[in-house]
Amino acid sequence: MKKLIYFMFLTAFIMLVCSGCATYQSEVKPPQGIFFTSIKAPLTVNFDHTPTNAKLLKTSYKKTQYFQDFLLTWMNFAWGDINIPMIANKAGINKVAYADCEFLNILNIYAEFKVNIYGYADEKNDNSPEL
Amino acid sequence: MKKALFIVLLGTFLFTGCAAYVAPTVPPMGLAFENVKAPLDVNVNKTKMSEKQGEASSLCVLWLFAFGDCSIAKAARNGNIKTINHADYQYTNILGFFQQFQVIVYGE
Repeated sequence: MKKLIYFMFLTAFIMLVCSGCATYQSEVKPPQGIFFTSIKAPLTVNFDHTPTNAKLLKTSYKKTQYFQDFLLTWMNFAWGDINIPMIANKAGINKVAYADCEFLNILNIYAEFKVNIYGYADEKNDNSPEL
Repeated sequence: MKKALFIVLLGTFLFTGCAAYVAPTVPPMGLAFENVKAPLDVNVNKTKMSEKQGEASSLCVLWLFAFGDCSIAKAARNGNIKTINHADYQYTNILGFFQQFQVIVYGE
């Protein structure tokens, strides 16, 4: 009986840890690691005439975070705001060219999802190309 | 007991989606071996074809550790591409122990 309870507990624990609660959804998602993931991937997938030259500004200072408390409550918490207009406005970008994302996951205990936006700054004599 | 534990672990690894990826176009997947190339950009209406290409890839080893930069910015930088016209990806999987996801951008 003790063995059965131990086995059930272990199964539940493995399922919880490996079920990918700290994962994310995106149009492009490379393979993830169970213990550790640190990847960058495309967020946008419509690339026709997408500029990638050096004049592009990059902004990525916003991220969402995830934390699972394994010790006391076993509850998980996620917070953050990564909406594209807000990030672009703060960096003065008014023409977004494309976006990438960064995902960090450590043992499903701590995770971060960051959005990198690339675009042109708004200027009065705007010479940036039409996107 | 050990056998049951092994089955649970194997099932968890195989069916939790750790050995898989997500893309706009996903061809049939091989669990033992896979090496496919498919479109990443599915909006190809009047898209100009380009010879010049840039690549960037990320790796996943033993289902446990995943790392790498397969972003558009890195791929364009690697290929010295100023304007991207379209993109593909290549996925390689050997028994789930080694997985590579490569983004390939084409442009000028």
